[in-house]
Amino acid sequence: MKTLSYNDFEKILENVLKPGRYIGNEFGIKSRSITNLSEKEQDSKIFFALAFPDIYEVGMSNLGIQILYEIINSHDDFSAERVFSPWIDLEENLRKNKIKLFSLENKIFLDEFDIIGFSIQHEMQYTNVLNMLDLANLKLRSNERLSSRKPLICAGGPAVINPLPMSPFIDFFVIGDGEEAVLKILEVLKQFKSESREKEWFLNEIKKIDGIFVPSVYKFYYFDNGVIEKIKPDLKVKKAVVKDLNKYKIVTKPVIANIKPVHDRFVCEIMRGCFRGCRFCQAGFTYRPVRSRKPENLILQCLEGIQNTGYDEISFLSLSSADYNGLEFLINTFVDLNKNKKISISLPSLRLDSFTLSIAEIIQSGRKTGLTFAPEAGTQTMRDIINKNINEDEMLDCIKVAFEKGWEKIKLYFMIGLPFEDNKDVEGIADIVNKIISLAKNVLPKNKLGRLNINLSINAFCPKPFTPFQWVAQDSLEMLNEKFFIIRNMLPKRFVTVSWSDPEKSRIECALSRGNLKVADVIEAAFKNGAKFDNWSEFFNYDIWQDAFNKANIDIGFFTERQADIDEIMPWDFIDIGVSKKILKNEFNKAGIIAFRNDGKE
Amino acid sequence: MNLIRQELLHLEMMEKNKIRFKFKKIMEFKYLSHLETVRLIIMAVARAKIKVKYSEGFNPNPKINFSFPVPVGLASFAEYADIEICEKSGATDFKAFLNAQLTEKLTVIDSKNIFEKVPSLMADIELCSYCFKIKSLNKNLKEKIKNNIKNDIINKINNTEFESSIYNIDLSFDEINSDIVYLNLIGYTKLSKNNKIFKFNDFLKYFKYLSNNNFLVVEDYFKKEAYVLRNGMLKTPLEIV
Repeated sequence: MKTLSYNDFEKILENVLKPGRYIGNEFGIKSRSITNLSEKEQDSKIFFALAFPDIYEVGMSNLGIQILYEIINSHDDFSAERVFSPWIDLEENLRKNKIKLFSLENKIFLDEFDIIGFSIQHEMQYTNVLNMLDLANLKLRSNERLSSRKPLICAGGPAVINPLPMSPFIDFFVIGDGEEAVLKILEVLKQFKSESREKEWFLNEIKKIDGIFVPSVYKFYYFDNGVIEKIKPDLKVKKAVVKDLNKYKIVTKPVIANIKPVHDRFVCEIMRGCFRGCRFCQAGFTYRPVRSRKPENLILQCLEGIQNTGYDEISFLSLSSADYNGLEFLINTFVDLNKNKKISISLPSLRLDSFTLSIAEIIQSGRKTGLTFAPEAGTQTMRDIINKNINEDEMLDCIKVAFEKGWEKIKLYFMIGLPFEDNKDVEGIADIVNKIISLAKNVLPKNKLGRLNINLSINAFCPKPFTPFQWVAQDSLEMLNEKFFIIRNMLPKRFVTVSWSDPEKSRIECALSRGNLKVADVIEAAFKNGAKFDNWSEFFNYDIWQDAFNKANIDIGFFTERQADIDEIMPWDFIDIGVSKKILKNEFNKAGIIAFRNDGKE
Repeated sequence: MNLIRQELLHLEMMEKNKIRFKFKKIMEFKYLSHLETVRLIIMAVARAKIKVKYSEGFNPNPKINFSFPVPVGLASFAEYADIEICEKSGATDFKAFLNAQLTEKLTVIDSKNIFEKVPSLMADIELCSYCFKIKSLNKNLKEKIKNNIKNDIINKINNTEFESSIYNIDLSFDEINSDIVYLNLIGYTKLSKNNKIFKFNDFLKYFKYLSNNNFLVVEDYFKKEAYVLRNGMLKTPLEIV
């Protein structure tokens, strides 16, 4: 296999801002050196490039990458190496010197691998996937790669749950959990390689595996108005599900990033899926069914993980940790067992109420960093519509207690542009913030009031596939900005910091996430016009995307501001995520009834 | 109860132990910044189950003090750190335990227990030595040319602003490869009345330019050693503890 020489490696790192991103050699890497493998031995192995379309610091914080890395490398016949998006400075050096993108471990050029698997976390990473293929000197579209046996390109992760926008570029997709699917794929790939089978044979074999979508199998027919008429064959791709998480240990020996990753701590996944059923939340539907790990198993694994890594912080990961059955037991036991060490705990999704506040107190003892609430909507009606079960009085009670206990920093998450929303709901957001400020004035002693810090984060709602709101129209940019200014104008300058997510970005995200096959042309055009790192505000360029939609002759409004017919065939209807369309329709109707009933009263 | 606690506290005080260690940071790891290196070493110390002493206060930090940062991209065979640990561990064990958690490209070379009070590394280290490996584009450097190069290069350097930041400079020749020359340089890392601080990156840029003018290529360079001054003599930080 062709690898990057050390001399070339040094050459391309000249004038690179953070060269530590590219050096590999981390503590905990599991793939073996290939320098002492003969060509024959190399040939008998399957080399898997785990590709992450964002920089090292982001990718190394991703649990999925660590899980797959461990699973693949635990087999002698398989070897997984990591590759991340290079930052623009390295990209420039690579292109200037005509050097192809390479893996971190053995510095193998990406096009030498048997298979490249992208883990795509969100739609705004799509262009980075194309950029990585391009940097590997690979053709972007799978039908341009038909003649080459390697590398095969696959993709998985939350942003390909609707795979159509990316499907012309990818040979096959993994929909759902990767733990079991990846080994099945690799077994077929082994046979493909050792028996020199046809590519078609390979694709034909893997499509039998749960969760595998092979784009070349499906055909989509459209009406003149752009809506899908039919999808052929009438076969559903069933999402891959790991039924019992307890069969898999958490990753207790992760690779330790050489430079500080965005989440610099040991991660323990306690639960996959969420009981809540918030109607806007895609993860809440696509990660069903809810599966928990047994807390009594986790204790030992966490201790092991802390010992193996040397981390002084642990994060208990889930979509809603307050709903995890053994949370109190887990935290209390963990705190007890680590009394003499300085290990801090973080619960990224703790839903706060009077009960969980005591948990927050345990984990933030000493340094009260701040509390996060996510009511998402400003009025009870709106929260009922989106099924976000947070009661304003309870929340205010909880914040009051928090103030009394010494917290001064509150972070609040809201969305605007929700379905059935009117100005009253928007104003309700500012009302809540103002109520919290008056509460603080009553509760906090005068000398502490100055330190009150309310961090208000407002996001534009982006309707997503596989949610009860998958049919609804997204607000126009003008409407979103107008609503934001209503809130802004109702708030005092003191005490509150408002952050407003870029509605233009949200609009593109919406179009990409609900896109069909034609959107692929837009993604390619945007990439060719220089779009990359679209999730980074300093790179996102709305004009590039607008041009790309124009060039592809596609109306962006079709995917964003159009309310779809409830019986319309959606581009992702051929994927069975385990929640039927009927359930989604029912949920949507419930939301509509709540809105209608409340409208009538006033 | 109080008595026992006092006894324990006393024991802990007794067991307070300071170790000075020297480590190298070469090959790919020369690309790590100072802070990135510190993070990796602190995590390795935790994995090695070495009980570090922590500072007090709300954000307790492990008591490890490093020598002055080496520039990103410069390999070093002489980085130093002092660590305070709360157990009676010998410096040799410390080195072995820590190295089991590190890669050979970032590894402890030597370590010693500190018994007497010494100034901090940051305050104490005054000089660092560097080595540049230069290759001649002329296949064979004849004796005569060698002497010319020696005078030419060293004279030129001594006529620049770098002169007052250099403590000592000389050239040596490779016994086997006649086209290889080494420039050994000791520069000041601390400002004083008589000298300036040696700026490595600026010097490297100039030296590359100078070499090119003399049909030479700078092939490799690294930091060799760090020194403290004792009675006008150069000593390594480990020699004085």
